[in-house]
Amino acid sequence: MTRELQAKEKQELAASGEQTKPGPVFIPAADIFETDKAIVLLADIPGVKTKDLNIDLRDNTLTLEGEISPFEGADESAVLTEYDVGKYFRQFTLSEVIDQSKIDAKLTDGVLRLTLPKVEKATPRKISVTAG
Amino acid sequence: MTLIRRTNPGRGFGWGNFNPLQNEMSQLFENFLGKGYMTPLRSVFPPVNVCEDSENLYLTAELPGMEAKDIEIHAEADSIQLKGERKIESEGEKVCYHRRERESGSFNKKITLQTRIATDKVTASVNDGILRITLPKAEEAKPKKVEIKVS
Repeated sequence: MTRELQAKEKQELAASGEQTKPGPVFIPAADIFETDKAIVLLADIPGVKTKDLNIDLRDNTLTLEGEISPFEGADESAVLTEYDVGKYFRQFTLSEVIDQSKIDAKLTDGVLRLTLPKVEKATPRKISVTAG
Repeated sequence: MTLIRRTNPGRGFGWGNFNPLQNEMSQLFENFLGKGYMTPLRSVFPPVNVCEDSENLYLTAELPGMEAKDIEIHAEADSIQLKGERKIESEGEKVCYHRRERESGSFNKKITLQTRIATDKVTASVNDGILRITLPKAEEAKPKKVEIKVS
C-alpha cells in the first residue's frame, strides 16, 4: 500500500545574503546519493524552466539557483493561497573531487537530476631521482 | 458610522496592546520548541492556489516529477477533485544515500469552489511540474454589470 502524501510547508531560506530582487526564496527538497563512479543529486524545483536554472560548482561548493515567473496575470485576483511561489536556492559542499567537464544536468517535469562524476584516482607514478 | 477594517485586527483600535504580548509569547514558544511548531497544516496534499478573473477560475498546484498520466481530475459543478500518485523510482541496490527529502505517495484532494463552473469546458495542463487547471465559470456565476436607471 502506498503512503499518503502530506502537505508540507515549503522551507524558506533563513539567512540569505542580500537579495537584489525582493521575494521569497525557498530551499528545494533534495535527494543525494552516491555510486562508485558518481554523486547524483535530485531536487524538486517545480516551475523552473531550463533557461532560468543556474548551476555553479566552485571550490567544492555546488550552488543551485532557480528563478520562477509568476503565473497570475494582471487582472486576476487570488481566491485561495495555500503555497507561496518564489525562487529556489540551495548550496552543497562536496567532499569528493568532481570531474567538472563531465557534469550532466537534466530537468524533467520540475525535477533536476545532476550527475557529478568522481575524478578517477590518479594512477601511482614512480619518480626516479637522478643524482646531479 | 465609522467604517472598521475587518482584516488585520492587530492594526485596528483597541487590539494594538495585545500584540506585543502575543508576539513575545510566540517568540518564547518558538525558541523553546523550534521554529514552525505552530505553523498550521494549511491543507492536504497538494497545496493549491486559486485565482480568478471575470471568466475563469485558475487552479495551480506544484507536482514535481509528475506527468499528465499520473494525475486524475474530476470536476463537478461546485468542486474539483485531484487524485494521483507520485512515484520515485528506485536507483538500485548499490547506491547509498546522503539525503532523502523527496517523498513519494498518493493523494486525493477535493476542493470546494465558491463559484459554479462549466464542467464540460475545464482544461488542464502540466508543465515543469506545475499543474494548471482552467475552470470556466458557469454563465449564471459570471459577474454582470448593473446599470443604474436614472429616473
